[in-house]
Amino acid sequence: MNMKTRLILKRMYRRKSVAFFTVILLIIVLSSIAAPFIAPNDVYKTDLLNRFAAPSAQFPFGTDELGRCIFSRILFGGRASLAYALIATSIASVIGTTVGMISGYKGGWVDGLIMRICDIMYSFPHLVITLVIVAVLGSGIYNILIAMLVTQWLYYARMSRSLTINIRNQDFVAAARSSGSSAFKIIFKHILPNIIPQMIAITTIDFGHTILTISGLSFLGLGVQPPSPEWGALINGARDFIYTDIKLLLWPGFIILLVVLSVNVIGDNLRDALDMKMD
Amino acid sequence: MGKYIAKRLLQLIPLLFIVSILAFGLVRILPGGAAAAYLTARNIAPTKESIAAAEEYLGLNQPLLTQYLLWLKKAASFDFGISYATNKAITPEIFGALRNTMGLAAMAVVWLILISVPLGIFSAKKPNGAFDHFSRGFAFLCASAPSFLVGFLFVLLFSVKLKLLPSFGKKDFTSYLMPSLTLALGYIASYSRILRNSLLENMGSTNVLYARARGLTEKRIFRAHTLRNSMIPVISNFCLSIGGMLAGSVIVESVFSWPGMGRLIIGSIEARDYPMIQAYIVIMALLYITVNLSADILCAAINPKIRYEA
Repeated sequence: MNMKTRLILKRMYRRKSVAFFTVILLIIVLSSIAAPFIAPNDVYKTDLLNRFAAPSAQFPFGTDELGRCIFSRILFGGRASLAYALIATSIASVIGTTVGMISGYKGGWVDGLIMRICDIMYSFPHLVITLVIVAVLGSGIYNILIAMLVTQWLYYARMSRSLTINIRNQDFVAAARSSGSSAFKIIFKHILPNIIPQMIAITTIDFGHTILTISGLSFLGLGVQPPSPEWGALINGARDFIYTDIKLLLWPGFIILLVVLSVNVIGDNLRDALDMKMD
Repeated sequence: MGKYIAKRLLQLIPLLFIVSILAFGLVRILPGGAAAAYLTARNIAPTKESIAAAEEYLGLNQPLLTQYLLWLKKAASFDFGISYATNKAITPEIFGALRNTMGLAAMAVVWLILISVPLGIFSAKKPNGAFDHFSRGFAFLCASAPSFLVGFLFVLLFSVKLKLLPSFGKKDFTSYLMPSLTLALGYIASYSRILRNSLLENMGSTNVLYARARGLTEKRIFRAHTLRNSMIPVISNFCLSIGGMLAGSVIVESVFSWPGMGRLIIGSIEARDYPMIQAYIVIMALLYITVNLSADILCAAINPKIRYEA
């Protein structure tokens, strides 16, 4: 086998893994969105005579410690987990990218101020900042989202700033500037389209981290509160029963793993395809 | 080098000031105020009289600046006062927890070195070979697996099925094994890949070519040149993540009921034990700043480029 065929085979293989995980992700996302239509049972309906039931036609994944349908709870849990993670990453990404572009393009005191804030925030582990914000505001998913925004937007601001600085002095930007375009127009019409692919790749990978963080905080009892279904909260509810019935923990855990793995594989390949060097 | 260290130390002063303001200010911006939080933690109904008494007792009716200076003076000697929840001195409790978390992190570092270095080296020996693919897949899996899932699976396998290791708490050395491995897995994933990529980059460098021209054996070249240079990005990345590891142990500690900083802060948040939260902020910040500073100095020592640029 010569080099070229091997290279092509390798690319095929890579594409195949991307295709595979995209399909998995799509299935999970779409079924979460369609949860109200496809969930076979009411997520809150308890049935104490049917606790820890094995999988059956009516309960595809079996039932939990209160006789609730695990499958339905995972579907609705996915709605919550995915929606919260999407809200947190997209808002952080939009704010961070915008601030980073302004900071990188304008330079001067704006840039200095933003970089100092970054330095201070980066002096602490993100999780510590998140925990402290939750400590002040109290637990609950909205406070978690606020804490995630506060810590995450800086990450995007840093990336978009350094990407902006790389292209700030290129000819097409200089041409736009000398033809009298405003800074606003240059940033959004010329710089943004050039950094958007990279920012999407970064956002994709961060989306996976965010799912892990939010479900982790719910697992700790700080985020979504029971009996609302959310993947991390489901695992928190299952921890008392790991010796009784492990499927309560395995199903949501496995689904989180699948989603994050899919997002990571897709994001990583996207990054490779864009030939980005990451820290 | 001395100049570099002095510069970094000077930069710490404003940072420490900000930390102290944040930790102190935390209690001021509480919804309901610190007195109400104190009463709730002690299970006393917050009436007008009890709030006034609590404010008097906690010294909350003094001017802000006096309160801040008093607090700062005590905090500087690591005296964080009395816990609202347990009514005991905070300092011994938090340092005990810190010791446990640091022990966990240290053991995680041992796992990290034991697993990620061989993974990285063998992956780089044959890039895109079978082992490299395996280790890439393994890295993805480790990076994507939530630590609560991994932790509970370990418990099921090693405690319930094989009855080899204790499932929770800190008893003897064997209690360290599972929580520290769980904590290390995510880091193992990224370090094995960083080392692999760095090795591959260095294998093609001119100093390796020159060493080969000098007739050194491949083994010698690998040990003395490639591996050594490849460790630089690994070490600098590694130093930066020690702080993250200390903070990130919170989920692992919850899974294994480990009596560390993570469990302490979660318990304090639930009990609204604000002096304890203040102490946590100060200790974590000091720890993180110290670790980062030592990391930067270490990196500057192995890589002169940083010294001159800074």
